[in-house]
Amino acid sequence: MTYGKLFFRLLREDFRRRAWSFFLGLFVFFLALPAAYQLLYGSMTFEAVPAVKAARELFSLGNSLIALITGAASVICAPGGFAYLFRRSTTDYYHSLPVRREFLFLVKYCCGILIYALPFGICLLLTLPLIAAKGGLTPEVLTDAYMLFVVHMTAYLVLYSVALTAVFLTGTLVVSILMAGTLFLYGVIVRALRIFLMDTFLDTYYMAYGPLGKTETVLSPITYYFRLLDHPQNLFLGWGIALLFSLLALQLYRMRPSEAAGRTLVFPKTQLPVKLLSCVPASLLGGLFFYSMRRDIFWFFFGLLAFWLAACVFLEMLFAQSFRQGLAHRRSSLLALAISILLTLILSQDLLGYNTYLPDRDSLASMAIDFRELDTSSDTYVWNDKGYLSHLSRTEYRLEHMQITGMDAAYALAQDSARLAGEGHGGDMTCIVRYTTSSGRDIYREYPLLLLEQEGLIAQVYASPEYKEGCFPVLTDGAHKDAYTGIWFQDLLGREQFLPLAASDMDALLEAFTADLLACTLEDTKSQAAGELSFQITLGTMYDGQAGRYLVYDGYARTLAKLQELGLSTAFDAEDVSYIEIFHYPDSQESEDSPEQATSVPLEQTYVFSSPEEIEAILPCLRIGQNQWFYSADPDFYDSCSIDIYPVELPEGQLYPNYMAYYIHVPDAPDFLREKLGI
Amino acid sequence: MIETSNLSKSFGRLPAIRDISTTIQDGAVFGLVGTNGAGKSTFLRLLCGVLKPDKGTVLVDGSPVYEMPDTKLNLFYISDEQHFLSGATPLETAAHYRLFYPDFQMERYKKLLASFGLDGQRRISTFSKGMKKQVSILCGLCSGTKYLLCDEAFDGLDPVMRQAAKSLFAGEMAERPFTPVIASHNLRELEDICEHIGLLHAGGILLSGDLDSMKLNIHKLQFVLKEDSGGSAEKLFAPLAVLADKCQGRLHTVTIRGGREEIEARIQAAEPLFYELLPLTLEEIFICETEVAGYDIRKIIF
Repeated sequence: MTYGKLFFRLLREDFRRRAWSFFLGLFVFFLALPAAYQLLYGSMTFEAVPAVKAARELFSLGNSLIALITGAASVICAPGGFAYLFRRSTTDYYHSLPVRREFLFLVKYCCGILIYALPFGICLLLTLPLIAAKGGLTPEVLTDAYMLFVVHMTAYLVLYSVALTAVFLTGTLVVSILMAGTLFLYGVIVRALRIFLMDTFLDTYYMAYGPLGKTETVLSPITYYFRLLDHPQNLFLGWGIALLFSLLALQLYRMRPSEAAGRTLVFPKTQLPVKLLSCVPASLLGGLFFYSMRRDIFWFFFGLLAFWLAACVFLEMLFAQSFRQGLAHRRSSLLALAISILLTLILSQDLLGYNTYLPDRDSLASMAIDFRELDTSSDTYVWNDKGYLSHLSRTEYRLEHMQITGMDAAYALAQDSARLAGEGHGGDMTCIVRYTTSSGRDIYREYPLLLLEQEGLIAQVYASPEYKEGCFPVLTDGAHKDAYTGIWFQDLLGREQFLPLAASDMDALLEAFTADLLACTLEDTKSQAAGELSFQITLGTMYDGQAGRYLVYDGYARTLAKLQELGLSTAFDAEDVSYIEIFHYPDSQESEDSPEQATSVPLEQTYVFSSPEEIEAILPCLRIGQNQWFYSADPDFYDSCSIDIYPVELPEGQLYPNYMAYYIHVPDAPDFLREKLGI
Repeated sequence: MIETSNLSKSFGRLPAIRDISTTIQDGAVFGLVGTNGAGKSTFLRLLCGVLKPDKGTVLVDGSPVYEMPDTKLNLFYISDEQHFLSGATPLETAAHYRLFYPDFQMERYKKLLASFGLDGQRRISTFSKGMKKQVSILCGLCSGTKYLLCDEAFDGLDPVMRQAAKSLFAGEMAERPFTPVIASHNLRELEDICEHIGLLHAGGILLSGDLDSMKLNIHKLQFVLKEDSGGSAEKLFAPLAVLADKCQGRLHTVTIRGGREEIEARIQAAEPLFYELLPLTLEEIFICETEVAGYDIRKIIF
């Protein structure tokens, strides 16, 4: 019999033996595709073309049900095909047959792929006539269906080949599933652990991308899967990974001794690396767990020891498959403990100088600085791949978009702040710095800031156009100017005005505003703002709305003039205000520091000022609260109060006064207010 | 011919087979005897290419066997822990074997199934232990391989079936080149079928040889001398080796290595009142041989 004939006969035979998994797959995919389509179609009758909408939603790569099935199928099919390796009798049976292992591998490997691909393909094909019957079979739907199959098939190949590697490394079914899970998630878990440890121990560490970090950079098939769903063009990478792991699995099978059936780990030499790679993270995780409850290094070490012991004992029992062997291989257990303690010391004592590390100035291509407490209401947004507006956090925007290449001030500030961090100074507030090296590597640090000491450097950075362009999207959004169709203005008193603008007016306003914004200095941010300005974005979709939120300081002459020219009222005076209510709550520290004040100023008190004289005197000292935290260390500003302004009249269409936060510029405050507040 | 040379295999730190060099001649039934844990199964698994030797070689008709499908085409292995495909019937099992062994005789297999009273359409999982053994042996016989390696093949077979299997082996050997290698911990089970025997103990071969020549070269003699001079049996039979010497009153029972004529010539020269040559069982031969080698066979086998 030729090898080709034998291959197909064995494949048929193996498929027959594993028919249960094929039928299970058929059932699950039937629920996930044709049945799910019917359900979706029924729930989308409000759509213009529900058949197409439902089909496109079902076939979208974001369909997590298919991803879930794919993951489960890989963990079932990989050990399922090679389960004979887990028992001596079955191993002897297959390995005594006159056929090479490579051939057996090929047959079982292909069968494992067919068991996933056939039910998937059949159910997908069954769904298409269903869609066609409802008139939804468009070329886009067909393309989506094709992409759904190809992308998930690729992901399956990756997961399946990694799971196979786990099978050939282990000798029992349970351990092989555990190993597959470990290979799937180890990179992600270790990355998260590293991030949490650094965040716990290193003062200047900044969690740039959340607790999982930049997951697509982690060596994990799961993160690859997620990445593939977002970027289907990465198919070739998936095929490469699948091929690599399949060859690795085949090589492991060739090396696998038949007597390994029933062992925990097939290759005894892998025992030590597996133990270290498991026990060290487990110990550190235990330390973190206890440290998170009581922020005391004693409890960290307690947790570390407890989890180290548990992990070592568990692994030794697993390796030997005997409860009595829990304390075996003490030397490797002690090595794991030593590594765990060493890593803890390196982090907790900053032995590598992480906090004070400063990249070489010449190696940097650009920098970004986020003064976290400055311009805090400023709304930041980007335009996503689909052309829609997408809002994102201020810090994220600034760190991603700011490219300060004239780095003298920024670098000097970072250097000074690194010094403060090295001295253990907490600062009044913090700033996040991104260094981008010439090679494209991003380095992040969160440094302490001392406003009064570093104001000069901060002012220099703030004055830089590159800083502003990285802060305020309106400065770099020229490509989408057409979508800016109106403005929203809220004055100091909280009165709203909305004004649709013609393109020419919008252009003129944008020109004036961006010029003022670029010219704005740090000193200007201490001045009073006439109000806040936002832009109306109109795309004709559900994403239409306001974007950006900028303070318009009194010094923005060009902007204010243009707003007035467009018919918008930016001026206000005491007559517009019915009364001002100030709820004062001096914090206890201040009272303790100045006993005189403690006796003269009540702990909490509400003051109402309604006379035009009082209102006129108070209004000039009020600042809109965007920068209140930034200036909290500046004695010229006072913010231990909550201030509400009640306008006499609201503009047409505004039913209630807006809540706005204010703080007080002390030099501009009238004496009677200073006296009441004790400032 | 199967030849092993300095064959060794360890499982972790446990040595299972140590430096075994032996030859299994074609056309004769080779019996491999030893206690549980002596290394019989490991030896057979090495012979059929399931295990890779740590040291030494296994050659089947001059070719290595591990991961060599062409060599394995000449070998059929029946494990002591038999495996059958889940839910398979005897006919399905045979069909599966036929994929790998192109000379599998399906018609003969069906006839043998019928003559053994086995239902070819019934699931093997519902069979008794003995019936499963029968299916395995029949598959092995019909696979058309030159060598059949059986681990505890007759364990679980009733005496009738055991005899039937033995006669099948004999018939097969008469018809074509066929060499069964049978491992067992039961010496009595092998006595009436094996022509060559290898005794395995603690991973090494203590003794290996042709059963007939063993029987021809070792004898048990009972005698009473006219006048007991008090001399030892060693003196009486020198230079022949006396392996055992028991004396009850004037009745001597000795086991001597040597030819029948030579032994009789020496005892007749001593003019005994009575002498008689007694038949030796395989057990007794092994006891003597292994005691000479410094082992107490009763602790090894029985």
